[in-house]
Amino acid sequence: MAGKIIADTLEHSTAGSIATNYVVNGVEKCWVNLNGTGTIAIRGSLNVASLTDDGTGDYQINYVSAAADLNYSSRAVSNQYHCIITNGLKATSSNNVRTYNSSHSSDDPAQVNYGFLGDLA
Amino acid sequence: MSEIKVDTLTGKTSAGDITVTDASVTFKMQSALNKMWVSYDGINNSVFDSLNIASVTDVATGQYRYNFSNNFNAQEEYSSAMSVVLQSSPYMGSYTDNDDQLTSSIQIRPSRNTSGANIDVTNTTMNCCGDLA
Repeated sequence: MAGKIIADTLEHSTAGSIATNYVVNGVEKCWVNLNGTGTIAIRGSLNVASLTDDGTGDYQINYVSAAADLNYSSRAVSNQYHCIITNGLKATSSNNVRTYNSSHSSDDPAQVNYGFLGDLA
Repeated sequence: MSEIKVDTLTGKTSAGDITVTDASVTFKMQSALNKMWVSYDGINNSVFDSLNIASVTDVATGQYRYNFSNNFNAQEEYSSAMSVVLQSSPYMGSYTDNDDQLTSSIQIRPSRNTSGANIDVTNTTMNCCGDLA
């Protein structure tokens, strides 16, 4: 590391100040834009080790650095279909997203966006 | 308590790379920051509040395009999130328009009725993170 600053507050000359806990705790700890069709693939990401294709419209996002606990806040949206965070499959090291078409059937969209906020382990 | 007064944070080794430590993990702050957020009134076509939004285009009923002030670096390589505030249900889920996540804008359909028709909503929010151009 080239340098390290330990500080409690950042202050801009005109835009105000912010406590650095908002910087540490308020930034996304993971985000991914994935291609959900065919062989699923990452377009862009942060803190994503890999994806697991669990079936049609069923994706597992595996983290590089795990969350501290299961209390993190996650979100998902796709570019074509409804998107849900699957109940019961949230883990500190991964999470699961499912997508459904207008007939409420599982389907693969061209794009799924996922991310979470919270503490890392 | 320590305080840093500064207008710009720039990485020393690499200008676009400042790491933040959370517990035992360090991660790239610039990529993790939300580069755009907006709270939008789709009924009156007005922005409640926003960051990095130049304008909003009311494309059609229940279909909006958020135009960024500063572009993202690559089409489809940033990540978005969206929610919707509705006065009543039922409704069908939110989604972004296929092939319409561009570097300069993103087009969304926050809600549809049970027949699948897009509907205007009183409040929809969105945020995007990733790297700017």
